[in-house]
Amino acid sequence: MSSTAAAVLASWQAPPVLTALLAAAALVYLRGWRKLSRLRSGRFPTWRLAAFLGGLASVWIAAASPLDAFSSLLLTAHMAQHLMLMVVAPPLLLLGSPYLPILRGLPRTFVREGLGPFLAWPAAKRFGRALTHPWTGLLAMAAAMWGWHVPAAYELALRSSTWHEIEHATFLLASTLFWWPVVHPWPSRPRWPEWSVPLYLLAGDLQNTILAAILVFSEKVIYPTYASAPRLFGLTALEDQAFAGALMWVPGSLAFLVPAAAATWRLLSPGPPPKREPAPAPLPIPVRTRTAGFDLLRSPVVGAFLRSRLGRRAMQGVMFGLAALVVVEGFTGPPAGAANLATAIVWTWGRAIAVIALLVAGNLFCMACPFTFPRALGRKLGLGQRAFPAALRSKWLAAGLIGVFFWAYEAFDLWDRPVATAGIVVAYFAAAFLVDAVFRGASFCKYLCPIGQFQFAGSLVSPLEVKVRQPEVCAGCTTHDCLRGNAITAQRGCELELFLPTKSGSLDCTFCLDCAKACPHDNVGLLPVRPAAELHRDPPRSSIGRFARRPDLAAVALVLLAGAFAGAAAMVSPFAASVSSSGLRAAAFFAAALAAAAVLAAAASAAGRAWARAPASFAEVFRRQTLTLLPLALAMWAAHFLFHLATAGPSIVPILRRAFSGAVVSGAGAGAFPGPAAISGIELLVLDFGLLLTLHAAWKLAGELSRERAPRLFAPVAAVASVLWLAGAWVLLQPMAMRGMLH
Amino acid sequence: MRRTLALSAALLVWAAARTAFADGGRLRASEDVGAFRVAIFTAPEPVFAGRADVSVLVQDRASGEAVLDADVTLELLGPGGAQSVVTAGRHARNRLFYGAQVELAPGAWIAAARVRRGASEAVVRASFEVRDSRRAAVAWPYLSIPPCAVVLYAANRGLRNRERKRRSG
Repeated sequence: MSSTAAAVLASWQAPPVLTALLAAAALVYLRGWRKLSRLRSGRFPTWRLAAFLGGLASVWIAAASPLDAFSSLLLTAHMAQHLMLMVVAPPLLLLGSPYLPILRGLPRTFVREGLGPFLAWPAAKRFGRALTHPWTGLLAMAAAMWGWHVPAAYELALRSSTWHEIEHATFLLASTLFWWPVVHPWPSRPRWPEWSVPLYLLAGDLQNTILAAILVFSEKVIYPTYASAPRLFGLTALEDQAFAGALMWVPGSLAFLVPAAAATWRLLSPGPPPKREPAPAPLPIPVRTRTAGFDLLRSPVVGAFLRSRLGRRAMQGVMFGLAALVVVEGFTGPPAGAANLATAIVWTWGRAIAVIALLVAGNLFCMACPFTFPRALGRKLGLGQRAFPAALRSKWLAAGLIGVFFWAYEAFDLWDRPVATAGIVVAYFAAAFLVDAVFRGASFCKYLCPIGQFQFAGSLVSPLEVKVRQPEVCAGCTTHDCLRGNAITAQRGCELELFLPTKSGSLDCTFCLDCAKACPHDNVGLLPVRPAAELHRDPPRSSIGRFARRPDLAAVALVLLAGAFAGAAAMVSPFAASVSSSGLRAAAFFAAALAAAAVLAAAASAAGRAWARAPASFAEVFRRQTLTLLPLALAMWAAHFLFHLATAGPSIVPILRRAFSGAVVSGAGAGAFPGPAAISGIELLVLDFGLLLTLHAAWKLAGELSRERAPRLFAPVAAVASVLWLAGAWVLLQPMAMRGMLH
Repeated sequence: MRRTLALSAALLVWAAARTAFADGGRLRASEDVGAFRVAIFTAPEPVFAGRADVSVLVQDRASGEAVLDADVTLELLGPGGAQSVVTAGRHARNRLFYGAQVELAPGAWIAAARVRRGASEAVVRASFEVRDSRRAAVAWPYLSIPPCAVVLYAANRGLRNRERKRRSG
């Protein structure tokens, strides 16, 4: 094989989003097909699965293969790509009869509650019937085929990648509609008699043939891009055009004529007339046995590791090692933050991983927190017997400490100060030891630790929670080992005073799993929950009480909200210069952000309450509505930290090289991370996710506080959330200063 | 209803296809110089400030065969005297091309592709305009997600309420 041919054949690249979507479609179909094939093996044989997966593979090949890479150089390659999308992928997808497998493959609740109302909507049914009518298919195919082959449209698609995507989507959709009456995927019914199918296919082929003939016999190059493109394989532009036309004419026509011949053969064959498909009988409802849901603690590898006595210790050991590295490197490494491992570990990697963990799992930082080692040491020394002062048992102090932490980060340029970074780690160990050497329980975690409060609040949005597996087991429990500890196994109970049967949500839960290990009934799990669902519920929570009576929790939420937006804004040009390296200006900036957040939240609550004439007090509405803004705050933090991780994360490679071998730090590491353009999209998606969770929580809360006038109570807080979201998007789209980070 | 279900499946696939992207970029120059035929491409089209792809196709002038063992460097001259020189490696997508990802500021740019193989050398220049940031263009699909989700949610609730009333009344 020549090197040119080898290079052409090697020109594959999987488009990540399309690949992910097609893989998801394949998994959903496969899941549904497996269920259905057990119930109706005759209706869903293996070839249907193969056809659907083949259809998806055809779409992927059209987008990822050399056909796409050479589509702007060779009309023949572009034509082959279009044929894949028009005559290969659609019939294969439809032969898979995808509607039932996909519905069965999607989560049942989503299909019933999310899609169900739309699927049962008479107007949608009418639209569906109109769309799958043979006339619609024929016209759609004709419009797509002729419309996109007009030189101006074709050139537009060659010039613009967006229009090229639209062109491909149009071809795939129009062809799917065209092939529908031919395949009529089960359980759809034919709209025209069977004898019309060959004529229908011939009508489709007629258009294909005329267009192909124009390309083959034209004496000039129809699409100017190909006239000016460099020529490959010795083909002139006119020869390439004729070749593309021939491809369209011969294989393209065969795709219409072979099914037409097969349909004709079937019509003319002697024997019993083709049976009309019986109306599909309803599928039998599978007998559902009650099984315990997913529990991460019961999963084979991760669960066994987490439940083992050394599981958490191992995680803490790793984190302790990293903390030691930060301290040593911070005090002895290069003074520039961009070249120092301490700042890279803490500010680039540590923060991002902790927040990502919150969004995809739960409070894993506290689970692996090494700052509890001093507490364990204090216990061994017999210290820590006093009760934490009752007056300080709230989050007020913690809210203040979080604010101070945010301010100090900006005022003292901590991202660029390895010594200060190492100093903070040492101070953290010292503070944890001092507090826990005096007071019993996990007083430092519960009332003081700023990182812990961030994690606690953030974990209200997490999808995993330490929960009771079967409440009825707890009803008969008299020992309450989860709280008091297990005397037999010498396993301590919850040091944060959370009693599992009345624990609701992850606030104040460090994921230490002491309760799970102490429970003699093995009734504690790490269970999936709806993210942010706790934000609109307000049961009396163990050791926390009701959110409506906790203004300190609202204060923590406001500090996190203000910090999220102010912290990101401090990195963009209108604010960066005025905030950085000035304690006073940074304090004023954060105070203004906090005041603005508080005023906006209070105004929204007051306006909503007055408009809805809600019976709840202003204080209750304000406190609870403020908490619903937490998902947006966490999303803003996540988007901000992801930016740092994506742009400065790879610099860890040269920094590590320098730290361990003395090599000079000269540039970023391998660019395996998404670039700034890609990360902008990911940041915005994360922010969207936060807004939607906030809106959902606020809507549910409004329904709970004012059943009759929920929209009125909801509207002002939704407006505030939307304004914050827009402000966040604006900030994320500004060029961010990568202060003190190598990128 | 089942047709609507099927339509949903078709729409899912359509949505997947929507994200397919084209490749190649726009041809900026194509010249025969010395022993080579050199073409310069830029992507995306139009080129916006930020990261862009500059790629080069080198062919043997006599045979038209792609030359895959040349040394190709790209010299970029931008607005305000901005200058950068990058070595173009084999393009990640189209293996016949040499390419490099470069950061470009808004304004007029000249890309010079210097091709060397053995004693043969050729330089081809292309000029192109880099537009100001396309942040809004990049952002709008993401910014449209929450409004669409809210509208769908509202429609879902409306339909459910209507169905509930129909059943009860």
